[in-house]
Amino acid sequence: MIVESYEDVLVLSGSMRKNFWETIHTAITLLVRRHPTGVIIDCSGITEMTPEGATTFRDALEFIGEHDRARIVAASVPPHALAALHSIPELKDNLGISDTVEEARKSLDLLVDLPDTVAPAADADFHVLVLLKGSPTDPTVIDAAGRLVKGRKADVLVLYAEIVPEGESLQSPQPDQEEAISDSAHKAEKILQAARIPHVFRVERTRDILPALTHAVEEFKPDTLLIAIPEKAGYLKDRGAFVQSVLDQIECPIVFMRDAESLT
Amino acid sequence: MHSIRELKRILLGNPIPTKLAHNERLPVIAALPIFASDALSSTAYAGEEILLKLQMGGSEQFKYLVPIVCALLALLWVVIFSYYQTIHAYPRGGGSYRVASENLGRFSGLVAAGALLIGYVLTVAVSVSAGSQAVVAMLPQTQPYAVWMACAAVLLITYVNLRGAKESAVVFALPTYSFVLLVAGVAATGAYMHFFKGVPQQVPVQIEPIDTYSQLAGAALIFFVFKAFAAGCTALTGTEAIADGVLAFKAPEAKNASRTLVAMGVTLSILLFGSNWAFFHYGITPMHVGEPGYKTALAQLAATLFGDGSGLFYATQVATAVILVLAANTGYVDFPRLSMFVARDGFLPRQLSTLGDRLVFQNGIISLGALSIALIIGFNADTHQLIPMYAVGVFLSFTLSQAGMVLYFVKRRIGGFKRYISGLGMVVTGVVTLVLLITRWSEGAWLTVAALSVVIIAFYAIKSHYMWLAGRLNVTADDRIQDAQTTVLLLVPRLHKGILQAISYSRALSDDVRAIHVTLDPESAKTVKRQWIEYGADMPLVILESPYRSLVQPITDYVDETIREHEDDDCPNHMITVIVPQAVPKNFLQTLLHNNIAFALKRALKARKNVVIANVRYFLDDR
Repeated sequence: MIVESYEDVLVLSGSMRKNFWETIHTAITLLVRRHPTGVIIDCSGITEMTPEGATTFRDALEFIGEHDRARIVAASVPPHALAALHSIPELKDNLGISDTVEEARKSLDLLVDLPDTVAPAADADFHVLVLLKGSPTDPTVIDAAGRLVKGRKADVLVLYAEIVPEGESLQSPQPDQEEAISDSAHKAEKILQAARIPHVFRVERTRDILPALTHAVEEFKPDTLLIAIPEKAGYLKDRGAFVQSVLDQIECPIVFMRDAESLT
Repeated sequence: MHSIRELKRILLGNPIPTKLAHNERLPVIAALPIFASDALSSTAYAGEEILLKLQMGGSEQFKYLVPIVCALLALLWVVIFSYYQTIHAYPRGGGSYRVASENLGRFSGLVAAGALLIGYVLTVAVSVSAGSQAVVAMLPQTQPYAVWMACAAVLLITYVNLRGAKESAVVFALPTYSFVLLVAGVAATGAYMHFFKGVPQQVPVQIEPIDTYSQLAGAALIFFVFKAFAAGCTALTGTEAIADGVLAFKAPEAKNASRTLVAMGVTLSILLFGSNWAFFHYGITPMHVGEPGYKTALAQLAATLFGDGSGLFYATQVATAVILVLAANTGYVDFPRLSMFVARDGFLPRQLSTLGDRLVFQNGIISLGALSIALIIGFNADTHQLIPMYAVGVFLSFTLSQAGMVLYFVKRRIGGFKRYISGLGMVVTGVVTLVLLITRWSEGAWLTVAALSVVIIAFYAIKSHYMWLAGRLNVTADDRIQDAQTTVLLLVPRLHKGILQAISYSRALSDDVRAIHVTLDPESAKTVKRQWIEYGADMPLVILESPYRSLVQPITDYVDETIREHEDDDCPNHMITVIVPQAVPKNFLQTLLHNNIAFALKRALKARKNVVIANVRYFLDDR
């Protein structure tokens, strides 16, 4: 087995018939130190993988879980190796799989150049949580958030929910969504910077929006929650049920904003 | 390594086995020039030093020269008697250090040792500087090279001593005995001319006293004379050498050492008294360095009696110059031996206590040479700057040694003559020490005191370190041999025959073995990968990139991370073994063609705990 370590990629070649976690542990640690968002494991060179060999990835996932917000994404996984990985339940649910190294990199580096998940400004006394989906009308919602906090010492957490379909690992990249989120976030960043509003961005990978939203509310404890609701059916299959669930489960003041596109 | 050994053999001679150590011991006739050269050479300048001091009170004060010399000789025999007792009381050697340590306490012993060690360094520096000045006196055009000549002399004496005791005896015997014969000849000629040819006493050049000493009387006169006496006490330096080096003598060591001591005393007495009597009788007036036609007092006497420019005159000059240089050898005999005793007690680095190939304490010899050269360069080979520092340390050690012997006799209830003589010696040498300190303080004696203080602090610091080390290393009943595991990291520049041997070795050490390759470019990584796969080496290969083109940094980062992992896993005894394959070329020139990072890696990793670095060497024997 050969392990190559470059930048943010660990390339595995050869046969994985046994657990090689001890062999790759050090290399992964060094990579994570350089790239805190996570590590890509390029599996294109793996010629053979047994279930025991797959336990290497299980140990790697356990390791990465100790690092805040870091992920491991296995890229270019050959079908025989994929079968071995999916034979381990923890891996099936939690190991991100991408088609290419580039796709994995884009996913790991999503929003890495924007203010990340650090605590909001210490002296803000009004916190707004904005839930966005990465749609073209997101800037309108951000504008609205800006009007909400105008004249106040406030900060804004922009939360993007990245929906991962059932059947895929929760850590698997969603290239289309991620591209949209990236586009939306950079536009939001410009608006918030211009308005001089302290802000952070967060992407939550989730099967369903509500749990991610609830989790963010518990963590961030916003004074106001601003949610954009699409006019047309989209990611919210049942708008009414969603709104009702939010009202039932979240107690802070909530502003539901009709999607700006629908206003035109 | 082979080349270094060969070079050492050529330069220093074949190693001498320990069982032949007794062959390197010295008989009396060979020991005298080695141990007594310092004491005997003082004939060349001691009288002059007395005259220079007396001169300050005017040439009328020269009348005190012979009485002062007689007092010096009396003191000399008191000191000789005391050291005679020391030799028999301490037949294993150690001299002042041993006597003071055992009878006055450790601190006193260390003061004595420190004073003597500084004294020996000064002995070498003063002697070769004086020899260099003697050459300059003969050949004034060599003045710009005085320091270089002195340093060269130190290197030569160092070399001779590194070759062994017997060889140095051969080298030093002729010049020493020549000097003795020539100076004795000068004195004898002077006496013969006076007593048998009726040559009357000559009047010295009339010199007026300097203002300070124009009205000498009473206590002032006594102090003045005592200052001159103190200046002449440099004649006694070197007396302790034999007591320090008893083990250098052939068996029976104590008997032969004491015989040599007496022989030295008799010879020195004859030369000192004879030459100084002749100085006084023939009206010799000391000259100052730099004066037109400068000659030392001994040179003036030789010129007067043998004729200026005669063969015997030049022979005396040459013998004087040579013995002044060879006087340094007394330092070479005793400095290494004394530092051995002190090192064995843990107050100096242990390296000073080991015998070398030629059965000499080579580290001590080399240290002495280096320190002396530093002094010569620092003081520009000027004896007048060095001499004020010289006698203080030696007389301090005399005082402590005499005091030690007094207590030795007291403890053993040995009374009478022996105890009183040692007591008298203690008092007189103690007073001389004080006078030297006071009169020469601003001239340089303060530097000796400062140096001694630093040396003693260093002694205790070194001892403290060794005690701490012993505490850390000593095995106790609670210590257990722990099971240890190791992760082996085998460095692989590329796959070749040497690596195969290293792979076998690595596997033998542990199951957790990883080959590590640092790649500076993608192509090299591909090549290594291909070779690894083709060969089928059943061992994980980890390829690390090096963004800054360093071979060492990625490896040290990897090692550090591996250490951290095992610390986190609570495995304090987990070792990391880094196997470094190392090419061993056929010859030195081939070495230049190899980029051997083993040394750089060892240096980078040396401070890491639980990291073992092992070289697996492959020998490039056949082309």
